[in-house]
This record gives sequence, structure tokens and C-alpha cells, in this order.
Amino acid sequence: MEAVHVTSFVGYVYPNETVIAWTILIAVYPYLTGLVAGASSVSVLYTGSGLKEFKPVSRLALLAALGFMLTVPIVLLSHLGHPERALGAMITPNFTSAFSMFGYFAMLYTFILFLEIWFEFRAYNVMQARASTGLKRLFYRTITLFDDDTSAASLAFDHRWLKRIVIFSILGAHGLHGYVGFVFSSLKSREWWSSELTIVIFVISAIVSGLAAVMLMYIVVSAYKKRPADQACLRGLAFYLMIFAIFTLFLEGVEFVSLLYKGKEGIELIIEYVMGPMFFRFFVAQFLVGAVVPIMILLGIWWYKPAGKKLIIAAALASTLSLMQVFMMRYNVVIGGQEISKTMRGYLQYQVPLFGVEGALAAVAAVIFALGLTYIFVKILSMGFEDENIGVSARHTTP
Amino acid sequence: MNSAFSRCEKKEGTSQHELGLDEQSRRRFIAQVLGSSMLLVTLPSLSSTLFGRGLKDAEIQATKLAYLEKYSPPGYDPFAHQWAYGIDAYKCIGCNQCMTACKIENGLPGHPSINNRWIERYTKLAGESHVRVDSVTDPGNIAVSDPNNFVYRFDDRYADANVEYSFFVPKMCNHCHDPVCTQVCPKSATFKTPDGAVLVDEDRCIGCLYCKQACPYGARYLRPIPARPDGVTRVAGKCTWCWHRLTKGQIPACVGICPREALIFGDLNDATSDISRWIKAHGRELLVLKPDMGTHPSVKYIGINEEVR
Amino acid sequence: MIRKIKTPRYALRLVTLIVLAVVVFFGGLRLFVPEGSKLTGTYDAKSLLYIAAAPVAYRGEQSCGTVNCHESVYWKWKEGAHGSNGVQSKCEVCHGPQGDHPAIVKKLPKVRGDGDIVGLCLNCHQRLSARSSTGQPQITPQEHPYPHQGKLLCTQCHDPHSPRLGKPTKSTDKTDDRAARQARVPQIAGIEALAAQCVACHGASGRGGFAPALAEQPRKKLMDALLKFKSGKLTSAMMNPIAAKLDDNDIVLLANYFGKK
Repeated sequence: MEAVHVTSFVGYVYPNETVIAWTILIAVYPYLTGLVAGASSVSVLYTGSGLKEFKPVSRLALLAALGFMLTVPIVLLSHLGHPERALGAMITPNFTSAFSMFGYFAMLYTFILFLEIWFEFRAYNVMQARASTGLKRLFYRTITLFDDDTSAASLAFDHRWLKRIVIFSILGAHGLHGYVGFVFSSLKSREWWSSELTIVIFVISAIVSGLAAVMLMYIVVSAYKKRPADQACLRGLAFYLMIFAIFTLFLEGVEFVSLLYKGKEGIELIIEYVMGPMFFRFFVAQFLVGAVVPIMILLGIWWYKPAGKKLIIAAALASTLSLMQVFMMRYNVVIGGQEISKTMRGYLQYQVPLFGVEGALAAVAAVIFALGLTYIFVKILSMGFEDENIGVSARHTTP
Repeated sequence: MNSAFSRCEKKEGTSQHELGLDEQSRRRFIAQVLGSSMLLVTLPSLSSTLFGRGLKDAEIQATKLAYLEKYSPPGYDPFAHQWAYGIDAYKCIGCNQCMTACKIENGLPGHPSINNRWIERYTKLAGESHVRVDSVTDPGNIAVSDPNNFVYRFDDRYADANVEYSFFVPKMCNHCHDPVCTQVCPKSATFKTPDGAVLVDEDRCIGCLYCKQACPYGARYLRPIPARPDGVTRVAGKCTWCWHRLTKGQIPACVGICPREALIFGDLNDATSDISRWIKAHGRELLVLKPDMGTHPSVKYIGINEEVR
Repeated sequence: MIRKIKTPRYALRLVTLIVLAVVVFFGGLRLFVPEGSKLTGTYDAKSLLYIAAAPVAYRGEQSCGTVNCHESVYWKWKEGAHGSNGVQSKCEVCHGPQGDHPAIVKKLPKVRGDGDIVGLCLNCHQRLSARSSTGQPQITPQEHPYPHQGKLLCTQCHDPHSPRLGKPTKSTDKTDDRAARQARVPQIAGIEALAAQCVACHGASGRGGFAPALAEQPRKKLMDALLKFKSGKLTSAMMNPIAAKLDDNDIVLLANYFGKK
């Protein structure tokens, strides 16, 4: 018999509720799907919309989306009681469950993402195959399906299909992440989750986190490569980040205010909880430091148009805080929802342990794993951005 | 398909008069529902519902027979019963014997945070606006209990207080007619049997605990001890109405042990059963928990007030 | 305006690969659908068999008062304050679960759990404001009837099987109105029918036929023998299949029926 991790509580909660079922990994899960959706939106800004200033980050965003997407199932599985049975949910899915289709949706989206990346990098991989020998050549030959066609006609073909796939990719990414929001918001048993706005907030804040993550990664990679980051690109990212951060702040505020204003049963408890154990996490971390401060910084970037180091520092700060805000939002939704008791007479006070599968370090490990995967993909497919002009969309921009 | 059976049975019992619909408006309503369903037919959830509804009687009968032949426990016909449970809170004395018996019968640990059933104490003190509630996980009650030996007691904290009213309420899985847990289980590892019990298939449960999140009554938990000797841990656990006893012709352990006959169990299909007579006698007082959740619990209460959630 | 572009070779290969993967994956998934799920459309009906196979821990008090088992104490309880008037503090409330008894013949525990007799009584009899006042007597341990908590056990004044003081329980003489009482014992159906199978070989009333005599044998010996036949510790082509069909209750009843009275 394993030890039962009991959470202390205030007021009255159902006895079984004192064991928190979904811990920090389940907060990481919507965070990662959000990053996927956001990163894929960033890549679309260039490949789909043809906004040229986003060219330097477009492929990075695409590969980051894949890296994070492949981490999602690992995070979910490691939280399950019986990961080895998880495939059964695809064998006999229960169609009334909001969760049963996740496996299929995730697979479909990962497939679309693979396809997108395949077309984007096909010509580049063919060139790699030509230039290399031995195992490396075999590898690149295999992923290009043993066809070294780089004729103008084939590039045009790639480009046309890429544009079509991008539409599905953006739909799939946000569909998938909105679906994750639905997994939570469809539960009528929890007042904190069962708001229709949850899905919208999830999707908008996903774009925030994706923009912020790509921005931060770009700054870090540039600093590492000792190459100046593209200023126009950073400004563009900062502008979109500002718009979506304001939108997120507005929606989260609306959701909370309407919950307060409607004042249904148990509102005294929610107020007590939000003003008590959740005060720092909710008002300080999520709203003030995570949303208001970065919006101020981003407004500054937009208004004063700083350049050089100033811009980079401001952008790095704003993106870090935005990433923190989105994670706190996921945490406050997932853990906060469970801390407010279904009895509406009490709340729990969950402490995240440091170690173990349910610990904070596991969450950090998951994010590091995702970044590691991204690094590997970058290594394989674009060799550390040595060549600015690789990738099919680099050649065929919108006329 | 199981839901298809229960739906059919439900329809037989509900006359159009009760629904308040005449034939014409009923047809219009169905047409509207079908029309709007056509738009949503691609949604998997709806398609399964429609599929279930589309079964013909003969098909249902055939499935029923196949089911009976192959998978019913020996000597037990799951289609012949419709179990229900009654709780008379007037009689409950909060002795916690039901909890003890349940934990031993179902192989649960003595830990107060893992329960199929528990008893809550609602106490309204004079001059206070809110009732106070406590149960087995309350530190004061744990202090006078001995969970390792399955002994649970309530402490005497209100001995000197000015008590306006106070009563005990046994709580358990409500074996809802429209359970949220079976709705959200991604794998159909938890399901409703034809006799009305909501069970967990421990051989297929993946332990995601989505059902625990969905249950409005807090009736589910993660099992730290397997239910059967050859079973596994880390799957969802819940009250089964002692289904292994029902199939052997016995009543649930909690009902059998209750010293005050506060728990009533029986077959609704049998007009002479305890539960049928009890429901007949107390029909006007019957309450269910959280009716706004739309779950239609099979566990009926008398002797509770509006504070009970 | 769409220019006509010839479909390259790799695109055809890609499509083939995708179609192949989809077919293999979904075809593979179909193979693993359990039989029971095909029938119900959702859950695996086979699990019902497993769930029903869980062992029973609480046997209920119906058979405790069988002749020659705990007959006298059963009737003392049944007629006392703990066994009547809608207040039924049943055997297993105090003695703990007896599902494996008498298959495993063991000494009955005095009380279940932690062995705290006073605490066990107080589980029901401590005065609590939430405890309904019309039921069983309730005491405040510090006051009852003078503070002797820690000095005396409840059972030193009250017989737990018939706890009311100053009102002696009725005669426990077995011969008294035994027939009338036995008529009221919830009889396990079919003991006569069960016994009828035995007399075919063991002779009328078990006095011996072509199989050994059962009458005048100690009950315990018969019970042990049947249990061993059932578990297979004793082998007999005739008795093993018969005993396999008997449950613990049947075995007790049969041993009582034929054994030495």
C-alpha cells in the first residue's frame, strides 16, 4: 500500500477530496498544448500570412511546436495510474467522454504538423542527402522517401501544399488546445471550471504563451550564436504579444468578475479562497506581475520603439513574465479548481511537493524535455540556422 | 447499448400526458431535435446516442440474451432487478458501522481519505449563519478514531454549545440514472449495469481520475489496494452496492450491518421489497442530493434539510 | 489562378505511406476490441464476472443461531435489547466480519478492531447532539451513572448480548420453547432437500448405507471432512464433486443435521 498524500483543508470538504487527483503535471499539460498552439500560430504568421518580419522565427516556432507536442502525451501518460492501458482509450473510446477523442485529435494534429514540417524541409533534406555520405545519407534519403527531386516544379508543388496544410495546422493546433479547455470546462461538478469562457481564454492565452516562448527562444538562441536578433522581428512579436496579452487580461478579468457578480451558491467561499491562499498566485502572479507589468513593458516597446540592447532586455523580460502568467493561469485553473471543494463549504490547501512524479521538478523536467526535443529537431533539420534560406517557404514567399 | 435499454424502459413508464405534450407538438419537437441533430451528427458524442436510440426491440432482445448467456454471474440476471437505496437520516446515529463494514468488505485501507461511504454531521449553532459540517477526515474526529483498526467515531465537540439542530447524513455513491462519471470515462471502464449499479472495470481502468473530477458527490478515489486478490492498484474505486454480494443473493454490507435500520436497500421491480415499501411510505419526503446536477440519483434520502449537499 | 503542376513521385510515395499507416493502425486497433465490448457497444461485459467474484467478508447473522452453533447466545441476543425493536446491533457489529467462519474454525474475537470495549459501546451510546434522542440509551461517559470511566468496563455490569440492567433476560434453557424458536429462525431454504441427497448413500437419517454412517459422529468431524472434500485435501471421486457444490452455510447445516446432537 502506498502512502496517501493528504491535503489539509479549511471548512468542510468531502473526505475523498482531500487527496488531490490532478497535480502539477496536469497543469503542465494545457501549458504545453498552449505553447504548441501559440508556436504554430507564430510560424503561420510567416508561412501563411507572409509577414516577412517573422521569417527568422518561423521555422524555429514550427520545430518548437513539434517538440512540445511530442512531450504532451509523455506528460499525460506519466500522470496516469496505468499508462500501459492508455491505448485502450483509442480501442474502445467512450464517445460521450470529452477526453476519449484526445488521443485521436492529438494524433491527427501531430500528423498535420509532421506533414507541414516535411514539406517545409523536404528540399533542404534532399540537399543534405546529396552532400553527405554513409548513414547520414541513408537517414536523409529515408526521410525524403528516396526521391531527390528539387526541380522548380517540385518546389512549387511543395509550396502550394504547404499553404493548404497550414490552414489545417492552425485549425488543428487551436482546435486541440480549445479541446483541452473543454476537458476542464465541460465538468459541471466544479464551479471554477464550468465556464464557457474557459475555452476562449485557453486559446487566447495560448497565443500569448506561444509568442512569448518563441520570442524568448529567439533571443536566447541569438545571444548564444553571438548574432544580433532581428529588431523588426522582435518588435513585431512584441506588438502581437501586447495585443493578445491585453485580450487575455480582459477575458480573465471578465470571467472572474462575472463569477463574483452572479454570486451563486458558495461565492463566499470562493471569495475567501481567492483572497486567502490564492491571493498571491491569482492577483499578484497571474494578474499584476504576469499580465499588467508585461503589458506596460510591451506598450513601452510599441510607443518608444527602443533599439539594440534595450529592446532585447525589455522583450526578454516581457516574454518571461508572460510565460509565467500563462503557467500560473493553467496552475490556478487546474489546481485551484480542485482546491475549491465540491461541497462549496470549504477549500483545500495543496502544497506542491518538490520530488516525485507529482513534484515541481517533474514539471520542470517535462519543459526541459520539450526544449531538448526542439533542439534535436533544429539540429537535424536546419543545422542551427546556419543558412537563412533553407526551407521551401524561404524561397517561395507570397507574391 | 445499456443506456438504450434503460431509456426504453423509461419511455414506457412516461406517458405523453406526463410530458405535457400532445401528439402534434411532440412530433414537431422530435423533428426539430432531429433537424438540429443533423447539423451535429458528425459529433461523436451525438452519433453514439443516435446509434443507441436506433436499436430495434428485436435487436435489444438479442443483445440482452447474448449478454445474459455469456457474461452474467452464475445464478444472477442483471436484467431482472432495478436496485435502489434509501437513507433514513432520522434514524442514523452516526455510529460509523456502515463505513467500517464497507471498508472491510471491499478491501479498502483504513485511511480516512479513501472511502466508499462516510457519515457527515450537520450542526447549526444558535446565532450562526452557516451550518458546521464535519466527517471522518476532520482532525477532531480522527483524534478519537482508530483508522488502522477501522474504528471511526465522532467527537463530542458540541457538548457545551447551544445547538439549534444537528443530525447525521450517510453519504455514498448515488448510482445516478445519468451518471457523470460514466459519461466522462474515456474508455468506458466505468459503466452502469442493467440492474442500476455503477461499477468500475478494474482490468481496463487507466487511472486518469477524470471520473473523480466529474463526480459531484466526491464518491470516487484512487485505489491503493486491489479489490480482488488478483486485481491491481491505482485504478478508480467507488461504491458498488457490494455487487459481488448482490449476485450471491445478499444485501450490501452497510445495509446488513446498520444497527438502526437507517439504510434501506432493495429491488424496485419487486413491490414487496423493503425499498419499494419504504418509497411508498415516504414518497412525499424523498429528496436526492444536488438535483441541479441532473444526475437523477438512485439513492433517496429522508430526514435531511436544504443545507445538505 | 492555379497553375497545373505535375504530381511528383515523392508525393505519391507519401500518400501511399499515409494510407498504409492509417490502415495498419486502425485495423490493428480493431483487433484488440474485447468481446464483451462488442456486445455492449461500450464497456467490457466480462468485467461483471470478475467483479462478482470478489470474496464476501460479512456473512450476516441469519445462520448464527443454528441449532448447536451459537444457539443459546443467539436467542439471548435476539430477545434482549440489542436484538429487537428495530434496534439490531448485529453479531458482526461487535465480533467483526465472519465471512470465512466457520469454514475456517477459529476462536471468535471478543470484539472487533482495537479491542476497546468501552469505545465500541460508545460508538453508539455516547451522547452526541446529532444523535437522535428516541433511539438507544445515550450516556455521557463522565457522568454514567457516576464517573467510573477507566475503572470499570461496560461489560462488567451489562451483558453485551442482553444489555438491559434490572430486567433479567428470559430463560436460555434450550429445551424450553425450542421448537417455537426454531420455527422463527430464518431457515436456510432446502436443508431437507440437501440432506435428501446424502441419505441416498449414507442411509436414512445418515445411519449408514453403502457409504459410512454419519449419525452419532461429532459435528466438527463431519464439518472438517466436508470442508476437506470441498478444498480437495481429501480426495474421493464421489464426494469431491458433491462437496464442491456446497457453500459454508450448507456444510454447517448438514453437519448439524446429521451430527451428534
